[in-house]
Amino acid sequence: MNNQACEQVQAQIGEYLLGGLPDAEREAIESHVALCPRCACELADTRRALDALDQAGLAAAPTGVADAVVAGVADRLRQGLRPRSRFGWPLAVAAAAACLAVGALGIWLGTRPTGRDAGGQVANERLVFEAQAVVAHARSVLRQLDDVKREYDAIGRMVNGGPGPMKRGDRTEGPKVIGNLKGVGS
Amino acid sequence: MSRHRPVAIGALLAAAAVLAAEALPPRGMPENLRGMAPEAREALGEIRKIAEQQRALAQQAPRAKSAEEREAIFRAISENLRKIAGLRVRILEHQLARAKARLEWAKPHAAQLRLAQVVLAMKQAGGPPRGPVAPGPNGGPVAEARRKVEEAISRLEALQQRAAKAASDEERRTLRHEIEKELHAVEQQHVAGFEAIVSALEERLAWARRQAANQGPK
Amino acid sequence: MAESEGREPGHEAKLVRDAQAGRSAAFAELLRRYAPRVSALVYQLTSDADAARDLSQTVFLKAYRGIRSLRSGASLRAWLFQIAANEAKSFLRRRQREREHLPPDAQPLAEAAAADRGPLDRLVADEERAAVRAALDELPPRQRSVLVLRHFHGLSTAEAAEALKCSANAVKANLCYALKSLRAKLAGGENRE
Repeated sequence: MNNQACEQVQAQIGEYLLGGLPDAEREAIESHVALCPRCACELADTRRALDALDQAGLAAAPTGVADAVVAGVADRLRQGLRPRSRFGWPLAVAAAAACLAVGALGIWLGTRPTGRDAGGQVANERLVFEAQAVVAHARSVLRQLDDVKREYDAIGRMVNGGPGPMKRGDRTEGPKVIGNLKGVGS
Repeated sequence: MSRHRPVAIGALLAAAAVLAAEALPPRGMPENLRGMAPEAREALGEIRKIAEQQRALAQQAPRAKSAEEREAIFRAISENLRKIAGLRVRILEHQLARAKARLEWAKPHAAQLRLAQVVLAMKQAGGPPRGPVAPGPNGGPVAEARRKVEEAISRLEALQQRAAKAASDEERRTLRHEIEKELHAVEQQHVAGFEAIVSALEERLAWARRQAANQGPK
Repeated sequence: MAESEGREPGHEAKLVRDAQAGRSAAFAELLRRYAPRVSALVYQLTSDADAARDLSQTVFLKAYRGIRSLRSGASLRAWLFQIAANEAKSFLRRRQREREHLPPDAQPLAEAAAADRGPLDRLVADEERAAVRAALDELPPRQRSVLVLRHFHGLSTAEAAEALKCSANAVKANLCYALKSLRAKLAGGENRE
């Protein structure tokens, strides 16, 4: 394979794998890689590196951090942004942070419930529980969608097709026209 | 004010101690629909073996001692590429079939899901899930469905706040109705996500078939 | 598809305008929506859960103070990520300087102590994960930021350039170098040639 073409392809491997290339350039790279073992190796190795990155538990901050952030910010805003020493909740309180985030936000926004009729409170608590149950279900649906997507991506990478010839839904653009076959691969 | 917080933390820590690692048991997708189709997995293994061969052939090529030898090596490489293209089609066909089967499971499941079931499931799990919603893998065919589920979660959190201060039975009825609407919306996106994967796999299969055709005799 | 995508950015723009007009409920909503992403970004840039928590709070407080400076039509995400990336950079510089003052044999301990202390500890016992995190830690800040923004957060080249206030070509080049480094470091452990 021609070295200059290889250099060009290798410079674009990142963009290709992360979906930054238009269809024509994607197909050009795929055609080159189908015939060039060296570039095919580079592509496979880079994919493996990205997979390893995905498996390293870095997709999100650890449990409870985001809620602690919300609670902390709401707290500071309520106190009028007065400077404070380093915010010190230990991360062991992570499990509780979710409720406290909601509570802190509620206090800041002045929507904290005042104690009222007991019977009504019980009914309200049940409603809150129901809403939480739907949230819990929604989260399991998200997990399922994530699992299915990860499987789809893994297959895509393993069959040497990259993230896919079409990238519908990845960016806020209109529907794409399917690219023309330009006699590639010969 | 903030002096009340230590007490609240204590109670919540006690509750946290009984939470399961995952808030809900797996949502019941049948075992035979999970993971990759066995035929696809097999074909993947074959591709890996061929890829190893290709690597070896690529190293042999510059060391070929004659034009015929080099020609033979290139022919072997071409033949492997043809095989890989065919295997790719097979893998995608099987995964597409599986994705369609999952969609067929999800549709009636979504239509029959009721608020009471979801509430029962959470009771069995010991309480609400903890921690923030992770951002999840980016983009892809399920991105829109995923985003809509996250929006539903936002709206549900707002509903929780309203529910906490509901002041009349009529208001409570309205809120319950809204909560049920969100459950319905979530399940719609559940199905939509599976549909999007089927479409994406269909496109990818079409692409793979085109590639395989291009690998044909020149 | 088009209608929902049209609604989403529109809805956020309205929240931003309301927040700029001083409505705390709107800002609270933005805070809730972006806290996971911002804290994820800081964590990915620092490998430090406490830093993720503290610096993210600073990001949002700065955002609260400065939200009126956001021009209409500008990307909130790019702006928040820009603030976050700057906070992470300052933090890393401070940490590096603090480490340099330690006696040489204490430095590895300090690094281990600073690394994630959360529930992921148990999972990080896995060698491969540790190797990936180490490889990420060794990347120069700009390369790391580009890799993280483009891969974990799915920003396009243009969006990443906006968030990092650099050129699109710089983003592409940094991505290329980052992936090459990552590949080299990870392949070192599993060389089967």
